[in-house]
Amino acid sequence: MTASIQETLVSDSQAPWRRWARRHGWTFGVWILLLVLIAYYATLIPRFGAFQVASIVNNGTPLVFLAVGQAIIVIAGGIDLGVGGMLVLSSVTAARLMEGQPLLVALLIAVGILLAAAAINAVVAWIINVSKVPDIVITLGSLYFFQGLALAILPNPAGGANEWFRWLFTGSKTGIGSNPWPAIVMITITVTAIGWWLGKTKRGLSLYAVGSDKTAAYLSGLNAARVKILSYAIGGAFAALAGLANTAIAGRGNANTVGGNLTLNSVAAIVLGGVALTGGIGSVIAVIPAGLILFFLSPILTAMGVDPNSAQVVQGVLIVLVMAVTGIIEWRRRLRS
Amino acid sequence: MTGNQSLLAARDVAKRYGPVVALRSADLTVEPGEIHALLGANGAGKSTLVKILSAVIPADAGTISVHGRQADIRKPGDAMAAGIGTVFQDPALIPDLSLEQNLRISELDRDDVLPWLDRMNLSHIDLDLLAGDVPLAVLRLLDLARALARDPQLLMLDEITAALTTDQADYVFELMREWKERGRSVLFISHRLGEVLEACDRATILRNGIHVAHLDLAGVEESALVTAMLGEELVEKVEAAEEEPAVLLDKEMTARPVVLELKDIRLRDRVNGVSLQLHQGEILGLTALEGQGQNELFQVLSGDRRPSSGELHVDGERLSARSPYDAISRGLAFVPADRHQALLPQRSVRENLAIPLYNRARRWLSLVGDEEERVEQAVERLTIDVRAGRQVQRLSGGNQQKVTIGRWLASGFDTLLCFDPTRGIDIQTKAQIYDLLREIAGTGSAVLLYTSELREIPLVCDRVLIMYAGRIVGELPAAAATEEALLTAAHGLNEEAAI
Amino acid sequence: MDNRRKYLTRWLVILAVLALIAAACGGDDDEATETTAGATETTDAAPADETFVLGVSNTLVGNAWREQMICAIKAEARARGNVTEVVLQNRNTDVAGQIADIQTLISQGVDAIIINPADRSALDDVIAEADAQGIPVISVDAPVTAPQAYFVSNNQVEYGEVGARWLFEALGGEGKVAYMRGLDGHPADTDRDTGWDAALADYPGIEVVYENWTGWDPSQGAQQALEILTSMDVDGIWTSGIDYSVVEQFEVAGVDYVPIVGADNNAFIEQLMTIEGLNGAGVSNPPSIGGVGAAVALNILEGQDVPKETLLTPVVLDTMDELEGVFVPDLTAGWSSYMVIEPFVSYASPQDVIDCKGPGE
Repeated sequence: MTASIQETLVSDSQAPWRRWARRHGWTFGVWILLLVLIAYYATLIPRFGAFQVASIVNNGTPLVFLAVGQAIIVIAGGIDLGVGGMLVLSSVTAARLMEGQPLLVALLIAVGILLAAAAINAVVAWIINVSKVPDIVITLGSLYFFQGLALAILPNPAGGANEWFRWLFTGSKTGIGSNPWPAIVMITITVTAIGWWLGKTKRGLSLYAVGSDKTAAYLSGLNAARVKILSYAIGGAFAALAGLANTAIAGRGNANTVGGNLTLNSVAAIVLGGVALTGGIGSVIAVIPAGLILFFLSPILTAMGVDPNSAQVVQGVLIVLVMAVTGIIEWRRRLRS
Repeated sequence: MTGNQSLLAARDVAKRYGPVVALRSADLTVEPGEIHALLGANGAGKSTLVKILSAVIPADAGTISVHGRQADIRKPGDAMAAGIGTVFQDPALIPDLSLEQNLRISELDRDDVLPWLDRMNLSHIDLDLLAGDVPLAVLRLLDLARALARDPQLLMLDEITAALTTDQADYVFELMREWKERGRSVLFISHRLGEVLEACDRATILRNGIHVAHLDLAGVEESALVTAMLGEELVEKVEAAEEEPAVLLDKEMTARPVVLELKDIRLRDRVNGVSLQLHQGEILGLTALEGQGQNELFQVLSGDRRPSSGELHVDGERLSARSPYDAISRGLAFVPADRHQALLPQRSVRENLAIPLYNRARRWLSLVGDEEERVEQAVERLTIDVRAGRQVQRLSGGNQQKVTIGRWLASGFDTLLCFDPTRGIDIQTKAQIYDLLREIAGTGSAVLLYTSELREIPLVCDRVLIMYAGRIVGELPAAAATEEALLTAAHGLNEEAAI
Repeated sequence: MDNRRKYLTRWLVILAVLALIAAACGGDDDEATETTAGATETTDAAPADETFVLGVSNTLVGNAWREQMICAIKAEARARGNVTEVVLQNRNTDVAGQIADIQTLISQGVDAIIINPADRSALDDVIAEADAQGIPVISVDAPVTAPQAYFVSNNQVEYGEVGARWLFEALGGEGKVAYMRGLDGHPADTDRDTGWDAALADYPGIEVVYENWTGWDPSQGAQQALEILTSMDVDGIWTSGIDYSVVEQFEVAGVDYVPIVGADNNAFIEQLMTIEGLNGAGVSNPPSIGGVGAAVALNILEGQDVPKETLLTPVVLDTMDELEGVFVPDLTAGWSSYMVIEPFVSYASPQDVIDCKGPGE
């Protein structure tokens, strides 16, 4: 018995590459896929330079932030259909309040919006906890609520943003240009920070714990209800960050943007990023390339001469393939153990 | 007011789930520096009491005091703060997190548990492994180390030895004794009365949700405990069942046709060439220490995994199963140790009994002919308590196990493959299950029974095989299968016993 | 062994599926690479046999008007003969998405970009960027504030005004009217409103009892028409092009018709021609303006002198002769009858637009 246990434990530690592959293989694979797609794209178009990179990174930023927010919520065992609505709401609020303001004020407004979004989504989670109605139902409600609120705040596309605020997200005061670095730095800092927090701190790990096994988490002394509120608050803040990026790109707010589509994109991105929809498994680091890839599908298909309407078909096929591959990996792993 | 000095005093604790009363009115007093056993048949309310004491579930009534002061314990964190540490029947480790991350969510780190792991001969363990990849026995010990690291006044162990091997259990007993010497206390729950008598000082016995006895265990006989747990009338029945181990003679058995034959079955490095023959009407025992390939062997037999090489013959014809469906349709029925694997916890007893019948329903919508009736017969024959009717998850463990066997009775089979069917089950239900197995063999079906309960092998089996390191290393007739002989062979020490 | 073979089969199946998808897309992409490469090479060649790639950005999919607009662009590109490819960025999105789409078109090296703008001013910066990279941008259907952009449109202010005047005249200058607008915030809608207001100022006897946006969605238009028919008394209805589904509601409800102003949708033209007792006018707003946009883009690329603004004056169609003159039998519902916009476009027949085929298709 001890012999056999020792054997399992030792044999596993003898193959560190296998463990690495198991823990980080998916993340690595998605990053490679992004690079391969970019390289392929580069061969399709006449010129590939800073402008093209900036165009992908800057315009992909909102989806990346939105997907990271969704990932945090899903890892903790929930799912938030309202993130798309939150994006629209924060985007129009920012555009409305920031118009004509200096950078400092714009930044204060941004911080205020992030905090408010976190608070509002915390209330959504609290309602889920108290009512015991499934997440998917309550957040479907919050999606419509946010979208409606956004329309009330800004009935027509309008508003504006401070030019340096736009530079923060797009590397250009006009929202357009050949400088991808601010967006890259912004994504790297926020996502690495949240990734570190999730994987290394007690509170962060509690999200994984509750998403993985609620009973065991409870027995370990964790408060599942509080963890859900925490995950929704952080996820809501990331959705609001995505909204700020959207305002920075467009230079205005538009409440007619369909939040539901954005939500579905965020779910597709986390699936591609290897986050298990059942909770407890996944890395926000893998969600970055996944979000960029999903944004990137439309340009790449256009460059391939495929009708961009079929981008949705490709996206669907991609998601089914990803689910099939994860299913097979899981099945093989089960057989091996 | 001596009660004031008690470490823990629970008074009149009650709990009901809908119509099912789990605890009627239970008292429990644990003094400092003692190892206290909590005993009772399955469904007596032991686990419920432990869960209430550790604030996993709220009690409907009753008071709990710690050190004479009424304790306000509402969530697991409060219980820990009050000095109550618990190792639950189900491991409380998060499968998707590494062991170290699991420690971190409990606000512990490596250094806190390493000394305890060292005491359990687990110091070599790699804490970077995912909890889901670690064998159950190790998880239980880790749970114990985690509880000990919090330095609790009272350590509650719910069926911790059920999944452990003998030497692992010895580490646990040693730690319990040490805990007692430090002036702390242990509340110990186990079905193995032998180890209870050996390790514990006093016992509280529950029956049907009421405490029926508080005993000093010094000089108490095992039979006295059984009587207290089951009540007088039942004990007689159980004893009658145990007295006649109707074991067939070796020669007579070999003359019967072979219904199941394994020829050099191998599976990766876990099963290394197992051959055996199972005769009609035979109960063939199989035993092994943990992790000797028995799990994998049963996975192959039940059609869950395909062997790397080797052949499986059923009634002389080769079976190459791609899924349990293939095995089942050739009459091989599998009863797993983990009842949750086999049952639909949220469905009713009747539905669960009828699951295998669905395969045979000729029309899509309804069960055919006499099948409803067969389900009813099975319920009756198994004396399953269906008061909790609606959902199988509300049944006690023993009753759940009866359902997993019962569904094969309802659908019919030729060979029953039982994998440790009595793990964590009380004596009374155990006796009923063994009774049932003998009855099944009596009707001409064959049973392959893996069990970790060595003492029970002579009671039910005709013959026993011992597995070690993926091979069959010994065969004994039931009469010769004493605990010592089996243990020696199971450790791979007895070369003479090898075939 | 069996197990291993099983894994292998599964993986092979997955690889095969992936390969199929790659192959399906691959066929197209070879073409794309060739044509794009061809385009870049010829940039330095003599202008006479120069060829071009046109980019199109559209943000409303599944709308008949926009579909026809794109078909007209394709028809014109094909008729001109010197376009190798029309690159479409065609999806439902908002202005942020359109900014990204235009960047994609710039990235992919198109020679000119035709857009139907989702916002009047928010595209200014990306249009400036395209211009800086030597790519002219032609805004079709609605104006943008970017000074670099060329503007090709039906005169939307006048569209609003002539239709309104026709309606107010038909009512004798007195009465209650319903004002069924287009897409809230869309520049064309705003312009039409300007024209509407100008006409309204001249008719103090007209009272607007209903104002709402249909989003240019026929089903929403029908719903609002039903609302009007059941809950209020109106003497006339002005629609921003959602016309035939409004008439259908009258038919269904069996209510007497009131004068209706619509656009040049083929179905509406047919209703005006055939329905007894229906008085109305179609104001031309041909989606084939896209073809004009393509023509302007190519004129610029060919080095011709092109004015910054090309505005088509709307025509009011209300006599039987005028209606019969534009009606096309068997056309998709929601498509406009008015397709060959002389003297701008080079394709000769409505059939070229209906075929909806770009160069090389």
